[in-house]
Amino acid sequence: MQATRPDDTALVARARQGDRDAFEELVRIHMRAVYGHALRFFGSADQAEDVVQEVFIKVYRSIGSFDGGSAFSTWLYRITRNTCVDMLRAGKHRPQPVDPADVTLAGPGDVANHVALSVSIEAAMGTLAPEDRDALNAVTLFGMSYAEAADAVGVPVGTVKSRVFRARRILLNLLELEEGGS
Amino acid sequence: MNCALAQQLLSEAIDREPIPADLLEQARAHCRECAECSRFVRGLATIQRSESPAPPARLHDRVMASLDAEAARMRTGDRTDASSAAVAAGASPESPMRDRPVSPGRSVVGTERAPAHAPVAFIGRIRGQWQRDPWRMAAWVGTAAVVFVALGFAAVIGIRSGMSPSATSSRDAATVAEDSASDKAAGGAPTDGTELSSPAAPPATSQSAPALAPGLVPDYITMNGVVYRSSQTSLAESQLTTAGVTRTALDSGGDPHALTVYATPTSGRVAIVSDGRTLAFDMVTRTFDGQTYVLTSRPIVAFGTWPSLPSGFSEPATPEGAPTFVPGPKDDLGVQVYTRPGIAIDKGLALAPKTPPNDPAQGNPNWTWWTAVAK
Repeated sequence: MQATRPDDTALVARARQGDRDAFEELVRIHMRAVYGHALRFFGSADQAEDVVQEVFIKVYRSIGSFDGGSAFSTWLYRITRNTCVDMLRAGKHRPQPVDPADVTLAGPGDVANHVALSVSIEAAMGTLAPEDRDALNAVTLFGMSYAEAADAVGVPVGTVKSRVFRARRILLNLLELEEGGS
Repeated sequence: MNCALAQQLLSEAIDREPIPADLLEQARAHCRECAECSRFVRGLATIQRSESPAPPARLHDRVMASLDAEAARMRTGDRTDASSAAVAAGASPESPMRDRPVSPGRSVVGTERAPAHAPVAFIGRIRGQWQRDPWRMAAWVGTAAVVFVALGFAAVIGIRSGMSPSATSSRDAATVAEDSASDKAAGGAPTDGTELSSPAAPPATSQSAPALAPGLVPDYITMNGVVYRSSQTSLAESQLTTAGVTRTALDSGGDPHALTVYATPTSGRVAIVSDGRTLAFDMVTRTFDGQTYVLTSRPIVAFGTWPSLPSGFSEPATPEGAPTFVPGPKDDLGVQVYTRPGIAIDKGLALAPKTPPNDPAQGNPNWTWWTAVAK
């Protein structure tokens, strides 16, 4: 679940010059992170797809003004996070609330079933507090460091550390992996 | 070193945060001695290994198509929203069944090579999305009583059985069954001729297919050896009955899994349900001298795969089809067809690769076999 930060420098430079192939490669590299964040935000694949499209349109429109002061993935994370919030405020989409009681627990047998485990984890993500989930996504989906995540979200580094740790504790408790883990 | 600090440090460590080596070693030593922390570390590793959900493959095409549209508008100086432009272009409102039409092909490259029908599907989806909230709920309420019991339960069973390791045997059985059915549909050994008894007559559609842009592959599935191509047309869910099983990864890029295929009793149209979407498919047919033939193939387990000769046919060694086929007459579209040596054409016919784009084979780069449908 931990994203490996790709080296986008060359691709971004080419994309800024209008290289469609380079932009398409950026889309290919980063779509999963954007989709994952949106899916966890709204809990709906349809809505997540809308977000992905909107995010990359925004990226396309404004990549010329991306000055490289931060990593591309950090910039992309900000756009993704803001797009989700904007769509929520505009009433275009509504997050689907998740009741922790409805989360299917991954038992010992499910630990080896990666598909079931992934489904359980994603369902449990919906129970996290938005700020905790955002912090976890920044680090695990977008491959950001705690410092970059703190800068992107506008909170101290210590706050990001706490949120990420709290999110993981909640996930583990909810999924009862601590009890049944191999 | 206490539990909270040890767990916090190890949580930071997996995020590759810089931690003093001695402090990290203390944390690890603590976790080796503490059962609770040891469980935490194991749980952390398990979550770490889990992959986030992958977006559907078609989303890439959708995004690139929207970016191409945006680029075109920026070149012309039109600053309106890309989605609004699509709506203004006259996208028609979609029924719930068409809310997520199956992509008839893959958009591989830029606007100059975009498929002719993909923008229509894309425009329809954008229009549907803009209008989703006011009418979609009402439409779903109206169809939910019929659709949910008939399709939702079967879809859940079908998807779960496809995703569960315990369904391996059923998946294998489906594969074996489909391979066998493919052989039967193709007529078994090349020296036999078998007419295909279709459970339903193919729809009375024009033989000509929409021309595809170069490089695109329609979305196909196979059931019992018969090829079905994705359709933009909706189906009346209340008339759907279980027709069989197909094994496909669709456009997910993952492993193929078994999906129940539903059919309408009066047409050659079928549907599968995946991820809450109902995807419609049509038989691929052509006619010759008043006889209808359906396209058959060895199993197609993912979108983006062209149909090919069913197992039991050896691949021709020459452009003229030898030794597997011999040239025959031209069909109703003027396309050269081939037959098996010594076998009457009313049992089946073959087409060479690279048919015209508007042919039902849509430029398939493979030899294809078309089995006669019982009259």
